[in-house]
Amino acid sequence: MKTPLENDLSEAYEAFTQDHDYLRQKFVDSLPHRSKLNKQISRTSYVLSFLRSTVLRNGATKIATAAVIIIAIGLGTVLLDNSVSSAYAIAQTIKALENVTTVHVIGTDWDGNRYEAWNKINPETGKSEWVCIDQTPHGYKIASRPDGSCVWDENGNVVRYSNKPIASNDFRYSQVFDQIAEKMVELNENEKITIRTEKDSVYDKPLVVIHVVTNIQDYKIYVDTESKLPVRLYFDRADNMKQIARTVDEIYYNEPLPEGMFDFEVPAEWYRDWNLLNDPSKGLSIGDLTNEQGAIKTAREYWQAVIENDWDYADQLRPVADWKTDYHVERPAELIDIGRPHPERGCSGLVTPCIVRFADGKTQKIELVINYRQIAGNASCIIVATWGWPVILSD
Amino acid sequence: MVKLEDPGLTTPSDKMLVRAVLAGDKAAYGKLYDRYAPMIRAVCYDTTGNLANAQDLAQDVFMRAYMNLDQLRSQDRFGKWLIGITRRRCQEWLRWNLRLKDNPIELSDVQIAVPDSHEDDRIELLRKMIATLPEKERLALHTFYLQGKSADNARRIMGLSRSGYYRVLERARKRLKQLMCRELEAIR
Repeated sequence: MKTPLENDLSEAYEAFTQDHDYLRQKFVDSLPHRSKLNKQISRTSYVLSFLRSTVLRNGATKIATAAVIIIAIGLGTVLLDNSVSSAYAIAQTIKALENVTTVHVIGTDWDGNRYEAWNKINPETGKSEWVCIDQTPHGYKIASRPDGSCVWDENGNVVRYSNKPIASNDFRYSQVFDQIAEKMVELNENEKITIRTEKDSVYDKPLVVIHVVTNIQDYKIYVDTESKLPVRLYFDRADNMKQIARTVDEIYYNEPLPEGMFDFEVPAEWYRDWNLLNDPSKGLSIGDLTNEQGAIKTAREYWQAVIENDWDYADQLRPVADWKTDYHVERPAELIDIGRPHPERGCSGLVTPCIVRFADGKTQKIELVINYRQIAGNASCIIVATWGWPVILSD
Repeated sequence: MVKLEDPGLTTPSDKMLVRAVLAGDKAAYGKLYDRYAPMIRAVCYDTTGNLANAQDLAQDVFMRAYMNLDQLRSQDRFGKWLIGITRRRCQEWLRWNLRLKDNPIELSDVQIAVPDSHEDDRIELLRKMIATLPEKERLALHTFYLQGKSADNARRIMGLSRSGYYRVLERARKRLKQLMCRELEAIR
């Protein structure tokens, strides 16, 4: 029979098996292949491996985790030596970043226009749940908060209200942090990170420059060695998909938000009720098809309708955008292929790549965002947007 | 590639696993992780006094071991070698801790210890008491309770004879019992 001490000891030791499966999975996933190892293994990859295996299991929220990864890699290389506990330093950084309440960014988008965005972090979740973006050159001002969103499209002379936060558009700069984190932790073998220190001409002080080269996108992240926070970000997409920002030139943390930023005050005459996406008469009923099958069917019928000038049907499948004008001028002539619908970070529906040949012979890849709906027991799909700009595949 | 499946052996030895890892089999390292991670966490806990930090340190220990596995001379002594790495890693952690305390300009005012989940105070006290035992006795307890209660495994890790191992284990239990009685009396 076991003594009380024996029972207590067994119980006390159970704590060390806690979360074992999860920790193991993270750890094994993060292991580099031995053939890639040599004696001169860089601290960068060591720190990265360590981060993959430890930081991401932490309870830190995504934005904090992403920033931690950026900063910790910089810190790990420049400030930490081998005798320092990176675990301890990183844990501290996570805690420090949890104190970030607002992120204010100013940068340049893919058209070379300036944008300005504010993110307010929910202290409970750590996520950037309040987003305000000023894209004046494009005529857009967007405010999104947990209970709804408002898009002021100056060119379209319309204000769109929704009782949901903005889930899918090209302008959510909070996504930038998530994307960097995602790329960093999922780096393939032929992708790399280089780190150097350079004296910055703007700030006139040394910054750590983290250059991340991935198959799709290059990132350069400039980290202030004093504050340990990113001060500038550059992006360069290899596939020429024009999404999100090209640069984030200035980043300010914990600034007070301008008063009334999320009050949704817009001129009353520009108000229009925005419920097309929930209108049961719009979209395509898909019966028992899966979400993916429904997206493919919807995309196929949409392009068929556009090619055959069936504008009413095309409008039923894609009711929200002013896309018709474009296709009246530049005529789609043939749907060549539909790729596999897939989710993308920050996108409310499935991104469905479509290869379309136009009447002038050009071939373009256009990615449709297709949402799945259940209205009164009926499953349907509806096209809500395109994902990024079209990519010209051949002239 | 070294094959792990060896007819007649249900559990691959450390040596087999190490050789498989060196030949490029990451899954084999997962098996070594399963075998030793709880014990390494316990050893780290003796230093950190905090489960979350102990888990982080243990991950780091395993990463270091993986990076330097080709330096392990006796592949059947992986466990012992791992404990050596853990010991050095814990010393580094302590030094860093002290440095932070001496230099509060860095992020030292940030509270990093994540509180462990609420559990019986007595159990937590017991873990803290284990951390105060002499290293050999601590290790005897860790190996016994986290290595499947197999004295053979445990004594091999500690480099002791079977009877020697049981003597240390018994001493650890006895001392622990005394410490706990004293501590609980003081609380009352």
